Amino acid sequence: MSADRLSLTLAALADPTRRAILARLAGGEASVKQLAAPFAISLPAVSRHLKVLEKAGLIAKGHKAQWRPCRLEAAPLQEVAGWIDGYRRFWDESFDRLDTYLQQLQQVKSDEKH
Amino acid sequence: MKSTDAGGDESAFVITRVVDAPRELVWRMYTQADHLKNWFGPKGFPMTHCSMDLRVGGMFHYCLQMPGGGSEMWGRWIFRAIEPPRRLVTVTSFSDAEGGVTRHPLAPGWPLHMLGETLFDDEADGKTRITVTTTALDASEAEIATFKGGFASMTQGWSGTFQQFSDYLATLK
Repeated sequence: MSADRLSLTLAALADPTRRAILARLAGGEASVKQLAAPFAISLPAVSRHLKVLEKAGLIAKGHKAQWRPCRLEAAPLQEVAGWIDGYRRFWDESFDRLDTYLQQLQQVKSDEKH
Repeated sequence: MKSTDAGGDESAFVITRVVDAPRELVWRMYTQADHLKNWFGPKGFPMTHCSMDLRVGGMFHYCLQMPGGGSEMWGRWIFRAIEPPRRLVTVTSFSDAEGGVTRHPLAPGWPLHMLGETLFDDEADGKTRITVTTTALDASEAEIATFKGGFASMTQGWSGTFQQFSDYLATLK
């Protein structure tokens, strides 16, 4: 995935409706009408969200069936998952190291007192 | 113990951790180069450059070496508020070796500057709670969307969905 694509994918994930659509598609492919059913928004509005997701490479539309079902695209999601994991790991592991380092420092200090 | 995210507001990313040390000591860990070198950054990313100018407008400038002799990751904080030992406000950016601001190496659409507020609060038994709140600073609408998309992906409401993705991706392997 190119660098620009990652920004595009992240921006597409910023919207809660689009994330709900992706969650629905994680359960299997669906038509636009099926995807629109749980939302209190119009069919064209759902189509606009789908366009953003498609442009970001997060979904694809089938060509075979008449109803052109939408499905999740795995690759960009995996990229985003890896990227998010990296950010989380930065802080988790930094704080792990801080914890260990603080224990070492305080151990030395208490040894000096004795 | 893992760090925890406070979900909800997607325009801010919050991470907290309780460490077993008084906050005066934790404050020094955050503000002295000799200490930062020993903990800042993930495992296997040694800090190869660390300069600290602790004053409002001053800079903490660092370089982390990627594992296996890979590429370097430069970053900087500019201090906005310094209130020992309880509050530190920084403008956080990716950087080059000269201290100039650069774009996110993987996502150029990411905001150029982020505002980071770190709070140090006393907890029982001489422990300290560290709370880091990160927001986009002076960002365009598109940059804010990129930022929200990235961090929304980590917040609570989204992580359930994310589990579904993981399960789904696992079925494809």
